Amino acid sequence: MRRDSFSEYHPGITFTFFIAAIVFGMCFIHPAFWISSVVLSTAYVVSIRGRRAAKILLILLILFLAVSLLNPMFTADGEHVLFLLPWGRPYTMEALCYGLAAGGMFVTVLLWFAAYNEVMSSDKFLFLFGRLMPSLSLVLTMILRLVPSFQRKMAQIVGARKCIGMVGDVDRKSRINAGMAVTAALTSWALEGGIITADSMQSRGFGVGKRSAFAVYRLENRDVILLGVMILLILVVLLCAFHGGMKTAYIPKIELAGTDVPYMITGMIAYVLFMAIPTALNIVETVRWHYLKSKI
Amino acid sequence: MNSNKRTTLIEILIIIILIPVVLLISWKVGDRQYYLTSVIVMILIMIPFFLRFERRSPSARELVTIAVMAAIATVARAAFVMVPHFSPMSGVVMIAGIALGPEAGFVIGALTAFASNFVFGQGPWTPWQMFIYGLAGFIAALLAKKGIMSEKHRIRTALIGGLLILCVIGPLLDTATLFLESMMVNNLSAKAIYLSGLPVNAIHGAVTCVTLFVLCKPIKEKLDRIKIKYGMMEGSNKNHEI
Repeated sequence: MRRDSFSEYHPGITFTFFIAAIVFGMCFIHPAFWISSVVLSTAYVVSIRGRRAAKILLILLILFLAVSLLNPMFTADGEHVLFLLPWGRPYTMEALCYGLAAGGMFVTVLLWFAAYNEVMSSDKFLFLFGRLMPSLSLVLTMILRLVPSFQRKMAQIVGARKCIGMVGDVDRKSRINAGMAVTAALTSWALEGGIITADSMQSRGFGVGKRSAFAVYRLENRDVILLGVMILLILVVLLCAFHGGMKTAYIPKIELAGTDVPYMITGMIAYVLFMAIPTALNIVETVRWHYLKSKI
Repeated sequence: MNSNKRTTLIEILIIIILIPVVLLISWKVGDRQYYLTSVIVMILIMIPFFLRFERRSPSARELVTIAVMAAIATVARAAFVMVPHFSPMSGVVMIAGIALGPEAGFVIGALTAFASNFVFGQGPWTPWQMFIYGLAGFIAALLAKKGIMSEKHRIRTALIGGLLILCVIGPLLDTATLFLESMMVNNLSAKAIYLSGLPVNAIHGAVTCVTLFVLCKPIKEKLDRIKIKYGMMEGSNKNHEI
């Protein structure tokens, strides 16, 4: 995996960034905004995943086309009719533009989530919410730890059953029954083991004192600065949205807030700067790395 | 007691004030923000369940049992790799709800959805799925409390579980898809999504029906056995339900 310098910042910063980027991505239907969001989220996913991004981008392209071309079939409103569908409903240009926006917003949210899944590992999530929800985050930690262990145990149970001739892959019914037997066996083993774990936790002082986290992140100066910049940009975007900088209507007639609206320009600049933060950090880091290496 | 009162106050505040406010704002803003609005409402509905669970500070045994059941619901699919479309997750969540009560049922369902998304990837669907699977565990547990669903009436329990998936859980999952993928929420797009979801929901319902029919009794018995064997029903545990 490539180094992602944005993910080395405090998890609170990463989380704030993704929440804001995803919510904005869901809301802003103005073409300039959704297109820049798609471009910048793609740039970030490529900067983290490198070549591995190709597959996900291809899938998302297909999804984008499907959502944008299918959506206009469900409305007949709009002034410019492009063609008639076989069953007689008009397919309008306005609806197509609306569909493109819907597809773009859908895809950009998925792209941000693709980056989120790379950057926000479960231990970062638990670091953030462990204090707020101690019991739930502990249960979540245990589930994440138990899932691979249960998968291993399940393979052992299947192996043991094979040894005594219970292969169970003759027809569908016997396969289902075999699966049920494996699940039931796994449950008894897991519940017994769970009680022992719980008693061990109890005797080691579960619930006494403060909860600690696996990874410890400190809020450094650079984190505070970045957080300040992010909050400032978010506020500017919100202010411009509030003043109608992203006003958009597609149906029945396309009406956009144009470049003559100062709030649209300001909001656009703030939005692009905000979304470019992680990619820019990665690029700066790479350039600095090559620069330092060239001096050796 | 005091913290209980505060929790109840927060619950009332959320349900009576915050949710209508969110809906009203979304209505005023317009722009068809179905998905964002629905996700915020889902999260607000889940908060009281989670708060209640936290305030009770459950014992280690209860936490581990919940984690084990949620992990089993997550991995159970792997036991049926040979059978296509056979995903017993909702069935196992319902059984856990029947055995452990509504609150644990909701937590198990929601955390199962959340944890399995750590494997398959988090997405905008996460809050919806958490709420829907939590609801599945919760409803099954409520029906079990009324004596409608129990391991003693296998056929009835299985049929009700299958119907629950077909009529409530499946359509809710389709609604998530509808809000997420199409901006044009109207009769036509709704019909298209729900009709195309019908076969998937029918399979899902049938699978849940079979899972409940076969597994409800053994898993319930195993949980009861654990309770007796380790004295979890007696005074050692200040909390109810487990």
